[in-house]
Amino acid sequence: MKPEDIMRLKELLPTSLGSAEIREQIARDILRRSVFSARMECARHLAAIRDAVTQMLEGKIERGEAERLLLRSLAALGHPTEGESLTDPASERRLKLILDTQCQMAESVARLSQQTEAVVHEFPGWELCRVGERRLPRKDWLARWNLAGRSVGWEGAVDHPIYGDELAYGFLALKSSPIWQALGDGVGGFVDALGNPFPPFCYSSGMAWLDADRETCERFGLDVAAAEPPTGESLSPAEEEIREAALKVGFDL
Amino acid sequence: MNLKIQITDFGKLSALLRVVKPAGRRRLYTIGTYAAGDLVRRHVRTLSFQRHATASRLGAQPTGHFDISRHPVVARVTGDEGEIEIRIPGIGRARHDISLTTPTSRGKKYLTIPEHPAAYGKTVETLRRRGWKIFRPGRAKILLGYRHKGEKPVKLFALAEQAHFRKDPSLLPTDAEIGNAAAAAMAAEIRRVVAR
Repeated sequence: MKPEDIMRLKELLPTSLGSAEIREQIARDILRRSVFSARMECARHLAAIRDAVTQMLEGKIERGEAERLLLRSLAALGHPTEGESLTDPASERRLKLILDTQCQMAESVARLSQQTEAVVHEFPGWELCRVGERRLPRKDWLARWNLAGRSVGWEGAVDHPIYGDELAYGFLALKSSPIWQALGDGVGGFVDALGNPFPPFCYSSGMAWLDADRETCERFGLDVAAAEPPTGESLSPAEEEIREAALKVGFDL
Repeated sequence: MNLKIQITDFGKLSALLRVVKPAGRRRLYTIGTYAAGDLVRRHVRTLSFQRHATASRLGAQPTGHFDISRHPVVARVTGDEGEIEIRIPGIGRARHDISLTTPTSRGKKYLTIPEHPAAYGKTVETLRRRGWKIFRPGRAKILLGYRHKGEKPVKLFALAEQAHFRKDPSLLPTDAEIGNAAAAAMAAEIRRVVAR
């Protein structure tokens, strides 16, 4: 599934609740499938957000253009467009936050949908690392990782950063590790967590996934066999065809 | 921008891809294309920390143009080949020159080139909605603006009828690097299947 398709499928969720209340009162599952914004009760504006994010995901427009479209939408609703605080629907910070979070979520879900057994075999892990610069990057990623890891007994996860420093750590865990949900849950009391087992794990985060290949995972002591979906004794039809062809052409092992 | 992945010049791997039946070929191309997508992501990620020339010159906040967490790299397989779609506006410059001309896709007479930190990554309409008063002084190809009455206007944008961006191959891995990444992942899969 493409990220823009995931975005188009999202329902609109107008709400009068603030961010903390949304987190407490609306099921995570519903939030994951919805376009919402704290204290935004106008479905028409939420639809404008959905359209703008879809166009960004398609690579048709940049964030600056998306911001223009959303300001136009708010102006059409008679909303002032000069606000600067995060609670103001028109503020640059707020619009950036909404656009980035929705794009990042759709991109992550699209990547999860590509995880076939063959892909997971070659790339059994996720490397969580900084992919985008932030003006004030969080400095607590090591603490987040450690607390999440301890909460799941480091199941399928490396208990130390695989590289980096305070601002740009790289963390590694199997795709099947429960550490991703723990990170998304903000284990340890991180209230900015979004509740998803995929990036962005928290608001305005520049940390996202790269794929980690088998060799990297094994080098850091991860049990890659545990990451694979159970396979039968016999080869799948596709694997059988590969084996047959390899024998035919004398593929050099 | 779309990049085709077709393994045609890799000795026995190419020979195997010619004879393998459709399901097997699809599986190999799925893995190879995914690996090529990973290479592209890693490459663009490195760029995202290096390419801030315009923002730095203007003293503006970078827009995160190369932030791969919000610009999808989509890998897919179609029949006998794979394809990676890189959804970063302007990334086509990695393979060819790009010329922007007017009227723009939005019917505008001029392209706006930011000349002030406040204008970087913004449209004229956005700035106006944010309270900027923007005007063109006579026939000069610039836009000046101020926020509050009495403030000295600053040069926000230069106006241009066309802009030319020269090809910059460093924006993406080379075709050879992408092909090698795909081929290596396919070969690993073949080895695994044969050894099972």
